[in-house]
Amino acid sequence: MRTQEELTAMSAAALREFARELGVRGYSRLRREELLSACQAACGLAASAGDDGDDTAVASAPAPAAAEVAWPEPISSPASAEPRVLATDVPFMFPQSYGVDRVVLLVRDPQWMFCYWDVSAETWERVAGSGITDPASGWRRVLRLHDVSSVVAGEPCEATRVCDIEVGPDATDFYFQTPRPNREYRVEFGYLSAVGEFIRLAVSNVVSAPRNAPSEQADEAWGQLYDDALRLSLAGVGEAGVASAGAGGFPGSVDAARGLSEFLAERISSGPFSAAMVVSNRY
Amino acid sequence: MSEHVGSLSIVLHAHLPFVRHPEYDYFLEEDWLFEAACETYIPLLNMMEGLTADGVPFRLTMSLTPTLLSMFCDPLLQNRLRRHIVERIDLSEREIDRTKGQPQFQSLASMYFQHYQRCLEVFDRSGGSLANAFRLHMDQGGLEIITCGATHGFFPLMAHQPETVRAQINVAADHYEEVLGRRPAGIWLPECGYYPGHEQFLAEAGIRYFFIEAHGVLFGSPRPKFGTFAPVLCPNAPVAAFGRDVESSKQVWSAAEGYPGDFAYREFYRDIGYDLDYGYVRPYLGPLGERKHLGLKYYRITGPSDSIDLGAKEPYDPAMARERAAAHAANFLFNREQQMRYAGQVLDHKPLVVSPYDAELFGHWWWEGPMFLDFVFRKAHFDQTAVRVTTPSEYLAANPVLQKVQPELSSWGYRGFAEFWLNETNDWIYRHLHQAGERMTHLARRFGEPTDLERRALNQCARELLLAQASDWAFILRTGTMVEYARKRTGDHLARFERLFGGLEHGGLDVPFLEECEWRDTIFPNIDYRVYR
Repeated sequence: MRTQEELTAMSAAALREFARELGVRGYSRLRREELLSACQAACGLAASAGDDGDDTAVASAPAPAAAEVAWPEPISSPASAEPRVLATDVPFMFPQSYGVDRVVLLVRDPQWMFCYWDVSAETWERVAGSGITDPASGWRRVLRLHDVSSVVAGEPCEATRVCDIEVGPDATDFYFQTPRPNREYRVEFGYLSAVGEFIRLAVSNVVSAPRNAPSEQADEAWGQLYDDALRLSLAGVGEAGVASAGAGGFPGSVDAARGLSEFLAERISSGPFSAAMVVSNRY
Repeated sequence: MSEHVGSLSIVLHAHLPFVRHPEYDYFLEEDWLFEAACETYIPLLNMMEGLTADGVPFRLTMSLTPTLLSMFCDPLLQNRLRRHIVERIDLSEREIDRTKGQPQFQSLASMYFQHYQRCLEVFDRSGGSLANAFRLHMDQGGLEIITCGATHGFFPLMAHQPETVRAQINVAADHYEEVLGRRPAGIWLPECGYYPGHEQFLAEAGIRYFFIEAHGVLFGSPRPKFGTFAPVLCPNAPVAAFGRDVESSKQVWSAAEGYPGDFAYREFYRDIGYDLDYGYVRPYLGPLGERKHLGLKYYRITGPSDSIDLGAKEPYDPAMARERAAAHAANFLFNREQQMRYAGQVLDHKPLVVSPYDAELFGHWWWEGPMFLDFVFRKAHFDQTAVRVTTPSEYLAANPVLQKVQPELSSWGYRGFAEFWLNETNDWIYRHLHQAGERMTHLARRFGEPTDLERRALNQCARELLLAQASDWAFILRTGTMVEYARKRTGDHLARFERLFGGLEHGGLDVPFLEECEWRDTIFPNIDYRVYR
């Protein structure tokens, strides 16, 4: 047995161990204060003032929630065994259309892009009124892909057209095979006539398909990143940043770059796609 | 000191989606947090505490995502985490009794008993918020904590709505400051997903570096002179990008050739939640009573998975596993040294190797992972001088001159780009997320001087949008397990958003509805919707 002083001086872990020895049931659930009073009770010592009533409850049969008595209740929680019916549980209907004219183009990887589109009821009405939605009219519903890499502001025109892809009346999205990596693309959704007239219903954002090989550019420029308290500024880059291959004490020759490309090629082949392992394990 | 041949930066990305269900007493998916806390976060804290006590100057970088930090700080989840730990203590105690007469198993039950007791101590000592415990190690200098997207939205698929990307970044940085008392120096882009140009938003938030998948820098332009062996500087913003080293990642990750598959290590899939009599484990299974992992696992991997049946596994031997972890740590450092010597020679540069991993691999999946890391840091300090451990901030302070390279779009996901989050299983969610994103931006611009009620609704809209954007939902839809939950979460947040949006846009805010949203989706209590302007 221990004295009152010894008990009071014990750590939570020591008290828990002692409570275990004493056969205090549910001791592992108890916080230090509770352990202390339980041990005091088991040793026939007076518990701290005000705790008398708790001794039996603590020492005999603590419910699983016993620990939570001592741990502050977080918020006014209406939680119970059965969840209550909540206004915020109304299922979302994932609407087919939001009633806007829109095409959104997303990059998936260097080989593929994805686009989805939406057309408002008003636009459909207008289009239907012109008769072109009738298959007999000879007009086809198409996605027109543009390579806008070399166009100011990415505005598509006849010269930027890559291809037209016919889409069915129920389709609302499409995966494009990217013609060339490292180029900028944009998509129009509309109707194409047999003689090549095009009516645009919506046009997408511009995306850049990523490069899938090392850059052709081997010229080096250097800059300085320095810490100005917590914020960084690029002061100094103006001077240092123009240093190109071989200048400014940085050995950067074409030969070195060639050596590197071999080195890189080796690493790339074993490289990025092993990341598959990363995702397969997550959950 | 000068004889080191290169530097090593180990980065652990700690992330879980915000899962908090006050409407239930028990909620199965909340176990993700409790298991990760007991098996990964607390063991890592123990490791750091041990290293500090022994005077080992470790250098570890961890991203604690805003969703995870929010859950650490949440009283309801704290309460439930404590309940979880206490239940595990109780269970392992019963296991000690049950395994009387089987010394091999009883000593394992004792191991778990001590483990969970220790968890409770660490938890109570942190005042209930593990964020405090991590912050302590950050203040002591060994740990560098970085941030992540506010709810782990996958940036490349939000790129055409820059306001939504910016909000993910700014909300994260502000939340980091609220919880940890300073601004974040670095960020782990969710899923390492980088879209060219986003460095501008990072710079605006005061963030000075991020990490990028190897090919994101290797395919950058101009060609990176040092490959992934040095960070590069983004040409258009004062932000550095650290490329992921593929070789060291593989060594740890790969199930076949990586360390965690060693036969001496603990077998994850033999758990008493499935192995023992149903009636016996029933009290620990929650109200639904479905069998689940309870965290007490008594067997080792034993042999190759294709030739050893789960039932034929041999008992776990902690001493043997510990020795193996030490050997693997030595091997890891040896390989890094070889790698650094080789790269250093080829590149004429002292290489930096950046090794990022999912934090939950360490401990949760790979029980011995924290022990392995502990050995890596101890050996790096005591047994060798070639490899120097560092953090990105420390490295940048010592090496401020960087090559200017524009990194390329990339992620660390399957096949290195956006495919895992954009395929036939989940591509349908984006039109809905984008619609909500556009409406949020519209609201933020429209409401210049909202009433108090409107402000609350606007802030709640921002929370719901952010929660819907979590890449975790698209990820789960793709993996095919627990799909219903991911679908429901996406829909629930969008539904709440739409309802609030309707009230704001057309008048007639439903106050009880708003209150219920605020009660359920408590993340980012101090969010300011104007972040979407």
